[in-house]
Amino acid sequence: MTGTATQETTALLARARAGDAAARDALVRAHLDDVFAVALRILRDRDLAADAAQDAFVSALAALDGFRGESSFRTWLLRITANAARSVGRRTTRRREVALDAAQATPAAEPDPARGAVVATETERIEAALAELPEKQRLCVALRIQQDLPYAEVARVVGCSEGSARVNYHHGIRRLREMLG
Amino acid sequence: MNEQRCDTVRDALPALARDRLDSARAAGVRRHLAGCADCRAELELVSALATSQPHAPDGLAERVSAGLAARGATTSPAAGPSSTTRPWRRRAPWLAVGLAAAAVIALVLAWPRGAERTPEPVVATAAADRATSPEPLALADPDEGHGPVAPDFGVGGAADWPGANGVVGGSVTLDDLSYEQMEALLKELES
Repeated sequence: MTGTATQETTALLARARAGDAAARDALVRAHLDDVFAVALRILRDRDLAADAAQDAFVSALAALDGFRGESSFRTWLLRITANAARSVGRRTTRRREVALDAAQATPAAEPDPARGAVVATETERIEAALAELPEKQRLCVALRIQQDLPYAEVARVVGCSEGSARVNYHHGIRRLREMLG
Repeated sequence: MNEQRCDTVRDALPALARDRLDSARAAGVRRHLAGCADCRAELELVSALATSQPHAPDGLAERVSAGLAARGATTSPAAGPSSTTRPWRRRAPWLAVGLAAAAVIALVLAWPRGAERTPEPVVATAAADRATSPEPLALADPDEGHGPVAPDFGVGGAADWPGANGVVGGSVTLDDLSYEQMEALLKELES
């Protein structure tokens, strides 16, 4: 993040802490794509990712007083997003388990980006391959390349050591190269 | 001559793909790429990934903002007692404590049986949003320590490699590792 962008975020945070709704909305617009993307990497479902994105912003903005500025706001927010997405995932899994128990029926299959529809574009091929990776590798690759985070911040978002972030990234890239040929 | 090693170059590829390397570093990376088909192939993948980030669906920003407005999700005001936007928890701490207790009980009752408990705190639910706690539920400050941190093995450069222990004692780069060794390394790092 550039110095100017950091200053703008700092100013928005100060205004949001003071209850400024316009500043709050500006923070949402500035970070929504990143938040949605990280949630999508974990949940692999756009509707659930949207729910998780909303939960993440609610949690983050309610706790702005707790943000001490020792990491970037973006890293802090993406860590909350990862937690929110996993929480949505757990709730969704529990609902599916209850439905299975109650109906003893096979739940409707979630759209699986890795299978099914013919992938027509390079982006779709890449998205499908990414979805096939284990979650940690998927997250480390996406955070490093698409969110453009250094390994230390990848580690903070994912909740692992920096070394683990590096290894998961390289392992993920190697697997992607094999899948994509 | 490729004076840079592949592992060093590959760590720089995301920055190169976004044109964020300084000119000297970029020149060194490009010299390496000129003679290394493997790293060129990786740059191609990294560049494709860098331009394929998914975007939030239309309308989500408005939905999130509307949801925040509906919850009255303004933060504690920086001003003092004269502020008119005090958060409710400062008006009625006894109510906040009661709601916090209710949120904890709800969380315990909703906890899945047999589900793997992760060390990750859960996101504040609607009920927990209104509860007070010195720290909001699950908003783990990434700056806070979360217990012992696995050793940072680092890759290349001046990284301090671990001593006698570890699968990769003696290995220099991740490229040298087989899949099995990489899996074992991950298990060590994450144990």
